[in-house]
Amino acid sequence: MELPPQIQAQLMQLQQLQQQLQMILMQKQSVETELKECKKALEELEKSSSDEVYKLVGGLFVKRKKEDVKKELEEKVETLELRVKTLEKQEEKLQSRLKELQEKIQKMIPTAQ
Amino acid sequence: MVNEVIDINEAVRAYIAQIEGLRAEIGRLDATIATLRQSLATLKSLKTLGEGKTVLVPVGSIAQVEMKVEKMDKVVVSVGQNISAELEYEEALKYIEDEIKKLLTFRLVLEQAIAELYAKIEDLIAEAQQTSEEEKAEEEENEEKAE
Repeated sequence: MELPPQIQAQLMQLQQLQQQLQMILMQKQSVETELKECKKALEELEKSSSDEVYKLVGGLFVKRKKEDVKKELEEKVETLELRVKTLEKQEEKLQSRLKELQEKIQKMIPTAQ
Repeated sequence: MVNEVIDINEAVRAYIAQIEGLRAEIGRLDATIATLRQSLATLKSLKTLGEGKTVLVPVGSIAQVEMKVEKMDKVVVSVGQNISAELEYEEALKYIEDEIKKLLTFRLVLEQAIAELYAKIEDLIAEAQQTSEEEKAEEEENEEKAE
């Protein structure tokens, strides 16, 4: 049995939304992992009694002031937290659009039969 | 019946692919754990050796150069995000040991996931066998009736 073109179009849209959601979830996971790493690095920097740390630039370790590196990491944490929030909002929106579309399709199916 | 067998076959293939992925991840974890254990052993050996002693430091895979151990109370450890910090010798050892513990815990989780996947595969095989036996019995019954 072939589905009416209207339902087929809605199903295609549903599939696209699911793919978009999948992408957002993957991005969120990657940003959250980086955020975790940044926080852990900050935590470990606190343990170091030295005022200087080393930053890998290319293949070389460059001596840097601990405070400067801490500031950089804190800024990175802020940026990443903001990105996680943005991605969460996008995820919520997509979830609700998906739900709406699923309901719409379910309503269309009995009428098509 | 044929469709059911195809479905089971596909599901088993998907589970096997997941197991292979998890095994590859375990392989990567093992390599990292081995490197960390090597670091621990090297640090402990250098500490035991003491300051002023000469050691051979590898330069690439086939060359070594002589160097003197100067200071072993501080160790520069990578803390992630391309940053390395100087830690006290004991702190550095603890940091590495903690990393090993975390990785071993994660390894255990992956092993459990593999065991669960194997259990699912066994269930599917049992299901396929049962379906096949039922089909066989039905065929025999039909043949008897026909006779």
